[in-house]
Amino acid sequence: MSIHFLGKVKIRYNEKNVEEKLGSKAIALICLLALNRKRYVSREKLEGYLWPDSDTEAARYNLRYNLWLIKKNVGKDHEGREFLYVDNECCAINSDYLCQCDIIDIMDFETSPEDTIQRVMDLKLLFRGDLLEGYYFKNCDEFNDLIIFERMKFDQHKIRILKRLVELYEGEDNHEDCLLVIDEILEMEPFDEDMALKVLNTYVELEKPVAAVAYYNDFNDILANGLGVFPSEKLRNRYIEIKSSLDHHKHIGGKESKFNLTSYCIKNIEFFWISDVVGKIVKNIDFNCIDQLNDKEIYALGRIQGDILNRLNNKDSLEDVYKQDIMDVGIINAFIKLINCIGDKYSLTITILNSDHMDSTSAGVLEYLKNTKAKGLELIEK
Amino acid sequence: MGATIIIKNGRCMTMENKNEKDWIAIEGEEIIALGNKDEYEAFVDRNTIVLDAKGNTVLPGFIDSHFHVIQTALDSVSLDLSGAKTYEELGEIIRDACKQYTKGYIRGIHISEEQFKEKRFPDRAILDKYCSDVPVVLNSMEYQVSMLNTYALLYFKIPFTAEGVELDEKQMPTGIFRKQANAILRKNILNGIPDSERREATTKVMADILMNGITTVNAMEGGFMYSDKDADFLHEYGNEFPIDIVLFYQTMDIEKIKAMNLKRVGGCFYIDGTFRARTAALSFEYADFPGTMGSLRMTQGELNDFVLKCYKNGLQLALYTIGDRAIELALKAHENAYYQTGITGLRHRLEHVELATKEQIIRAKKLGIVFSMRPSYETYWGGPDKMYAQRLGDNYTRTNPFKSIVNAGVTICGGSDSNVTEPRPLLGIHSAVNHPVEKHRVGIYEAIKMYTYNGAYAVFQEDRKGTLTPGKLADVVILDDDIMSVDHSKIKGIKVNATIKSGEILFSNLK
Repeated sequence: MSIHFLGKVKIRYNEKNVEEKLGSKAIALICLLALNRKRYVSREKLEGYLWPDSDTEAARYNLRYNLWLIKKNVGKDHEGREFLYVDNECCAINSDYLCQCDIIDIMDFETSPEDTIQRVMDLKLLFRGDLLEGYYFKNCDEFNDLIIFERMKFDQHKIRILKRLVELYEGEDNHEDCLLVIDEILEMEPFDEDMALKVLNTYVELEKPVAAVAYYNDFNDILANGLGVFPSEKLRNRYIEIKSSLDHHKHIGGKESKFNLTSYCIKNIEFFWISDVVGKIVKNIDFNCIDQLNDKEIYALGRIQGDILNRLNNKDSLEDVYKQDIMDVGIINAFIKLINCIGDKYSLTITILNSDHMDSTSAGVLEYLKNTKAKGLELIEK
Repeated sequence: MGATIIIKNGRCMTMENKNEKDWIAIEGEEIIALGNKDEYEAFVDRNTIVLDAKGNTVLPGFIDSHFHVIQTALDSVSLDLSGAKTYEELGEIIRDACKQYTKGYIRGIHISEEQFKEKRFPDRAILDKYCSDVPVVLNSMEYQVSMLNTYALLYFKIPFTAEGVELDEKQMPTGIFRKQANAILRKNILNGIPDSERREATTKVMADILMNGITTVNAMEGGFMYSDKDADFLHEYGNEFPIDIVLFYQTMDIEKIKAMNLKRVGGCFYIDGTFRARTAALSFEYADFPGTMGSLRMTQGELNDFVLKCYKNGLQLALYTIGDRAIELALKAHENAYYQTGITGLRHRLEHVELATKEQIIRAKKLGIVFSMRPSYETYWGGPDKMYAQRLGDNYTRTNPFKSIVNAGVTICGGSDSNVTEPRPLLGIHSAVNHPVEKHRVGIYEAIKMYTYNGAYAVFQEDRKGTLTPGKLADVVILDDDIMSVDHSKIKGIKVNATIKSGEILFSNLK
């Protein structure tokens, strides 16, 4: 015997569908007993759920009739066992009866280290729709409430099972199938940023960064259209990382030498953005450009970014020479010269994160760079 | 040569250089001539329909530059529950609707918590009392909250695992959905509406639109809080309706826009929220909620990226901005995109743009940005004793400064924002002329221009529409009064006597 309560109800006994012969109340009765699979349910309780408006006698009769209808259509199993235990007080499903029931299988599932992909996949396939889909039991308020409550629980079961399957696929480095399951989770929870992050990382594992970038753009659209918001910083930063590596690879071997830098801003800390850019230039770009700056200019930049001072052979002696002499304008001029020197030789892209938090001095310099259209420089504000 | 229609004895405001004529001749779908006195007689033959305007104003057909067509249509077949003061009153309206129920579900709109003494939205236990055997779905004023009865909870696919499902003390859903759950549920429900229902409702609402003299709308469809299926429907079937529908698809999916061969994108593409919900982004605190300044829905970087993409793809972009902080974000993004590309002439638009500063207006002028505004908001919410003043305090005097915007040379196109407010251009004109803050008022001619020539300009249609000019489409309205001589306070009382769209008389009340 097999029973499906999720999606269109199907009850098969001896290779035949019997659900139409049973009718909606008998189906509801079996469902109630299945939901309470590990315990006896009192007749009174069953009558209360399914015939709340009937008087006691009529309710009793209705229950008796439906139990008889079930017994008539669902006979004994191969071992000669009855489907239901019924006595004067209570009813229950016989747990020894040979029967496969979707909701019982799902409710019985507990995550364990012994889980196999096949086992969890089989459970996933049981989710064909909502519990008792298409059913509404007029005046059975308590039972209708129960259906709603159980639908909510089965949605949670589904998420749990899908997430377990993701773990198992990850464990086997089966990223393709993993993505398909994540897609199913995102169908239920389209705004789940943790899952979206998993998609990005999975595409990277699959060496498909272009797909990751395209996915991020789609997700961005889903959030904007669905909630009117944008991805969290965590997700956005991961996207920027992937995109930057993509841009970097694109230019390797090309005619143009291109450097991409990602810089950050912190509110109210003067010169922070400039300092961050200088620090990354020092780490990433060849020193010839920096060497086009004179000692005083390097020293000026050293006031906001110590790493650059390593380019000076005699920084200690210069300290005394320039200590009193460096004004803000000197730092700014040195920075602009540095950017222009790099622009002569390279195509430089600076991505600016949190640009709305940029300190006022840096914002002024940024404005200057934009207005003077510094050669070879592309600025991307995020 | 005979004309198909002559409108005589009119005060025909051509909206070109303030010229006025006495009559218009229409042949086929175009205007063929205008003139004075009896010269029209040369165009009359036995088949000519002669309409007598009786000295009243004749104008180009109104262009409503901000209109949610499908939502207006669906609302027109929904229950307006804003008048119910108690759950009982609300329930009785629903109960009556149940009696006439034939298919689908019962939809109720315009509910606010404040209208009930309990100051709470009705939950499913309350709704079930009045209707338990038909699905009932109710929406709050701005669609941020949905309320379902038990039948609807079983009827629709419910996103139980999403954030925003309200639960009672027994952990049972109350039928009230907010946040993500509301967004998913609304999408599930709206996506389930068949196109046949959209068509039926839209066809029905056309009569009301024409009665108000509207011959073109800018349809803001799809995206956040709406359904992309609405936009897809209008893209495919928009030309089946008697008025012209210019689609603004509210999406960030530029590739889709290009594939659909659309020339524009956006509409209610939210940079901030609303004054009512205190989510419009201000540079000062809300007067009735100190410590709150509203919020931006995206960062400068995100908006810069998107705006730049629009420039590079040659797309006209309409961004929803209400507070001055949102306007600032949008202007900066445009300035950045202009700096990066040097592209001009796309007539980008800011929608609503209710709190622009003088400096922002000047920058918008430099960028060639069009302000798509809702003058009737001032009638609904403006002045010292309404919502603007409650939320903004003394800053209510800064809202919708039409005069300064016009004086700065920025083009304003007018729109109703139907379904949020009534689709009545004459109310919009009245509101612009009678702004509660005197210094923001504009003259009648300038106000009419917002709904005619400027509306056409805002969608690159000024060569075909917006003025009464030979060779242009015969989109014409005849009013029941002379708008230029009526007392300003009475403009909103003027009615449309006839609406002609592309040479067809589609609405007439002429005696």
